[in-house]
Parts: sequence; C-alpha cells; structure tokens
Amino acid sequence: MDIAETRMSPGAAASVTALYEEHSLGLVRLAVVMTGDRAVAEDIVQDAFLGLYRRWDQVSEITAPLAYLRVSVVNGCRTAMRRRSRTGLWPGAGASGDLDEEIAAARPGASTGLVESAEASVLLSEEQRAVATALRRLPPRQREAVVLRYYLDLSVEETARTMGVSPGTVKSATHRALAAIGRTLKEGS
Amino acid sequence: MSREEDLIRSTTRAIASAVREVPPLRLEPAAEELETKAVAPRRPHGARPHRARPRSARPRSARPYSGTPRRWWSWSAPLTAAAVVIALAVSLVLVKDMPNGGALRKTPATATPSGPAGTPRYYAALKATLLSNHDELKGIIRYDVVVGDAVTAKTLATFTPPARTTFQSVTAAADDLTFVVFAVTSSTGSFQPRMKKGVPVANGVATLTASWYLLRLAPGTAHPASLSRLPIKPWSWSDASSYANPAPGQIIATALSGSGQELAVADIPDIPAAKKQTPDWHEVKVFSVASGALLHDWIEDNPATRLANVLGDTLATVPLGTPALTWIDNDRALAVAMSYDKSGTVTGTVRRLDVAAGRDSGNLMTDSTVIWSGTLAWNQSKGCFQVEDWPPLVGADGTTISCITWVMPSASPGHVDFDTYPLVAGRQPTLVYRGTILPENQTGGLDAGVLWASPSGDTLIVDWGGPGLKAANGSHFGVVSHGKFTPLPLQANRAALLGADIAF
Repeated sequence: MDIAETRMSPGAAASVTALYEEHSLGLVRLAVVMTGDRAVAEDIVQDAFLGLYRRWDQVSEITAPLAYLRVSVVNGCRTAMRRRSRTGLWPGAGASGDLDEEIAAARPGASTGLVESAEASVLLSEEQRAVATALRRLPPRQREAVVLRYYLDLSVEETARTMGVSPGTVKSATHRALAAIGRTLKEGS
Repeated sequence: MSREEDLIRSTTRAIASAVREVPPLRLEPAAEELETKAVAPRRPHGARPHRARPRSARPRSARPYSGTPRRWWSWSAPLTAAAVVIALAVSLVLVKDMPNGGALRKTPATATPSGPAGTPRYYAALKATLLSNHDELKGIIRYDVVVGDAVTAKTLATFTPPARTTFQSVTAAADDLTFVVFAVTSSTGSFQPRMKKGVPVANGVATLTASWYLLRLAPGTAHPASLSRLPIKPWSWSDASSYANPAPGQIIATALSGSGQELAVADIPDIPAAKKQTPDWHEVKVFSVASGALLHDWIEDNPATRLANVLGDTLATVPLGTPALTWIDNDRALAVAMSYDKSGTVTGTVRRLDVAAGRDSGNLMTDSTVIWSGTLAWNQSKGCFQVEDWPPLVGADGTTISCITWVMPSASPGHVDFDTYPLVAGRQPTLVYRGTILPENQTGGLDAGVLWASPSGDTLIVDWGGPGLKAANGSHFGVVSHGKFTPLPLQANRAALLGADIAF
C-alpha cells in the first residue's frame, strides 16, 4: 500500500488504520520477541502507528511503510527497554562480573517475571526456554541483531538499515550473540 | 544454518505465535497519555538521549523517548501533577529574546557547593512542557528549564524559552550557582523535518540556530534565578542532520568551565573543506562567557574519530547534553571523548586538549594528547569501558570515569554498583557505593544513572529506582561516597526532572 496515494488528511485515519490492520499483528509479535512483554509491545506498536498518523501531513511519501514502521517499532523497543533499564538491568542479567559467567551461572529455564510474561503462554522445550532466557540476557543491540536476522530473516544489510548501524556492526553483534547463546546452551546441557 | 540459529528461529517464532490478535488502533491519545508526555516527551527526530556528562551528567535513560509504554510510566501522572503545583508556586519566567542579555558575570565563579559531602546543592533541569496535540502534530516541542534545590526539593524558578525555541541542554560551573543553558530556535518552529523515503525533503527542513543563556542563582533573594542570553555570535545548521551525514554547523556538545568564564562547544565545522566527508570533521571552540568572544578554535579532519556515540541512530538534530566535552585540570584543559566503529570493533579515546598551554595551532589532533584509548566492550562486562557508556562521565581531574554496573540474578539479592575507573595505568577501580536489590524488587527492570561526579570520582550524585522498586525501599536519589548513601528529597520531581537533562 502506498501511503502517498492516501495521504490527504481527511483520509489519514482510514489509511493508517488500514496499515494497522495489515501489519499490526506482525509488528506486535516482533515487539513481543524483542521486549518479552506483550503489553509493552502493544503500546510500542500503537505509538508507532500514532506517530505515523500525527505526521501524516508531513510525510510526503513513504513507499515502504512496513520498513518505516519496523524501524519505529525497533526504536520503540529499544527506548522502552532503556526506560526500563538504563543499562539493561533486566532481572536475571548481570554486568558487574563477566557476562559469560553470568550467563553460565544462570539456570536455563529459570523463568523471570519478564520472561514469563511473554513465554508462559506458549509451550517451549527446555532448550527453547534456555534460548529465550539467553536472548533476554543479551545486550540490546545483540538481541536486536539476532531477532531481526533470524526471526524476521532480514539480510545483514536490511538489519543494519533497521537498526541504524553498519553491516559490520550487525555481523559483530550477531556473532557475539550466537556465541553467548551457544555457551548458555552448552552450560545447560 | 547452525544449531543456535535454528533454535533462535524456532524459539522466537514460537513466542511470537502466542500473539494471535491485537487491540484496535487508538489514534487519539487518552488524557493520561498527554499527562505522561510531560514526563517522557518526544524528541526531535532521531534525537538520542545521549549522555550529558561531567558536571551535567545525564542519566543513561535520558534518551529521546519516542514511545510511551504506559505501564512503565503509569505512576508518573501524579508526580507530574505534583510538579506542576510546585512550579505554579514559584516564579514562572518567560524568556524574552534578548540579543545581548543583561549584565554578565565578570568574575570567576568562586562560591562553594553546599550540598552533602561538598556536592552541588542546586540543579538546572530540562522539563518537557505539555503542548497541544495540534502543536505536536506540527513537530513543535518545548523544554523549560527548572531550577531547584536538591536539599529542600524546592523549585526556585522555571524559565520558558522564546518563541520557536526549545531549551536543549544544561551545563554547570563548579560554584553551584552558575549554569549555561543551550537553546535551539527553528526557522519554522518545527523540529521534525518532512521525510521522504526516510530522508528529509529539502523544502521541509528547518534551519536551526543555536543560542546560549547564562543562568545565575541567588538563593534566598527576591530573585533567586536570572537568565540572560550570552553574546556569542549564533550560527545555524540544517535540521536534516544525521549521524551518518551531519550538517555543517551541527552542534554536538556544550560544556561550561568550572570557573564559569569559558564555554566550550563541539560541532561539525561549517567550512568549505568540510562539505565533503562531513562526518570526518570536528571542531572545538571556546568562547568567553562575559564577552562572547571566540578564544580558541580547533578543527580536525580524521576519518577514524567521532564525537558522538557510535550507536547513535542519528546525530541528534538538536543535541542533548554535553556528551563529549569535559573541563579538567582546573579549566586548563578539555577532555574530548571520541569513539569509532570499524566493523563492529569500537575504539574509545579520551584526549586532553590543552586550553591554557598556549599551544594553539588550530589542529585538534596535534594540540591534544591521548589520555586513554582502548577497545570498548559490547557485553557490559568490563566496568565503565562500554560501547553504550561512551562518551563517558569524566571527572574534572581528568583521571577517572564513573558509571554503574549491576547484577540482577532474580533468584537472589542483586546489586547496582556505582564505580569509578581510572584512566591512568596503575590505579585500581573504586566501588563508590553498592545498592542492594532484593529478589522481589527485581521485576520490572531498574532505572539507574550517575548524574554528577566529583573531580576525583569518589563522590557521586546518583539515582536508581524503577516500577518494581517501591519508593520506600527501592527508589533512591542522593549522594554516594565511600560506601555511604545520603538521600536527597528529589523524589517528587524525580520522574520529570531526570527524564531529559540535569546539571548540578
């Protein structure tokens, strides 16, 4: 859908609503995977669409609304998590020691409140639960990189554009995240 | 595909599959959301809440906020209301556009801070002002400056910016009474350029113009605070600036010297040579606060340095805080913090730029020396030397940086540590204070930051708290020093004042 075709103010609500109907479920799912909190995820997606609506008459043309909204949602997730934790102070995470040690010390499957909020309603294997826990413990940029790369199957370049970083940074963050998750799984086995 | 990749795919898709429906779109914000916006406002496009530091160290959460997770801020509305009541009880001053302001300080700031453990008592903070929905639609924002007493929690004054202007950052001298407020005026009044395919369109981009105001306090008098425009010749830049493509003239940082006599400004130089490869160019200027005269000007062209954080999605069009400059060594020098990302390996550097040495070739690199340089960590495991912590909070003696580290094991007591790390070899890091976080208080995350550091970094003004932490035992604001925490009664204004920028 080309927003430019329907960007006249009287039709803004209808156009944004149509976009919402088309993309909101996928974007909420992305935000849930990112944040682990469905209520926060819904708020982030609402805000992304509300932001688009508010700027409708200033947006001359957006030919890739999903990419635009996806960036908004990823930024919203990042901001919400920073708001929750200026330095990633998520329950179950630690940073005063070596992160690898913290991850190794964590009990795979020992769900925290945040993890529970997103994952309690689905059946996950022990291994998947360990992966979910390890994802929560990743630094925000590493989590964004692996979620965009492997959940959405975006390319390195698409991931870089969405995150606003260089492809090299995406590769580095992904490599580090995979290594950390691998170590977690190894410790838990 | 590796096993880890496969597991990540299956796990994330299983988690996502639990969401089968979404609530309907609400295009008109509820009243409580508007209240919340006063606390957690939107920033101009891409403005990242970057750390202000040294004397005006920004809490790490003070990032441009583009969303409003209501659950997180649900408690903020009554706090906002309380703040409004307090603000109405004190003077509300509309700043007129005074080209040259009033009389400026001619003598150095020499008073002694009177807060606990010799810390500053008075602060200047930015506070978002609730505008109409119509204004917000047009990209209009406004931050007021609130001046207060951290010991009594009283607000001394609130200043409102001139038309088409927002206050953007604050920086403090060492006397506890002198501040400089950085303001930006938009030619259109809007701080959100029109975009096309993610790129600002030419006719929708405003011209932004910088100005600085001297804020002087006189507690206990009939006029406890006054604001006057500094006579620094203003310059402008395009609102289309971004991290990858900064606009010539774009201001990155502002720092007031400890004496209050000199103002340092970091920017992208607006010179013909910088039109190409603009991100490689940086400039540090030093102005006289009294006369506005340009005292020093250093420029560099270096593709391997950036003054902004490498994780910045965009270079703030209207920058926040003072992330890269710190006056050190009794105002003899500036600490200039840089970082550079090469294929994911981020190098951090702190350079000493001698202001008083008389060595003034105009070249930022040759006139400065490296204090510290090294690879920054991505994994939050090596104290203060972190990608996300950069530029760091440098102490005024130029030998330390301060930050927080933490452990949140969830099943057992965790802690948040306020640390000071040496920038010189041979010195050991100092644990200034450790706050314990009980398991039941670890849900919901934690909000923490170092707001001010003493010259040696042994005394800090900090805050930590969060929705999972009850105010009675989990939300803290105060002074930490040598393992002791001294609370300060800023709780009532905490959410409003720590959301953007604050300087002590």
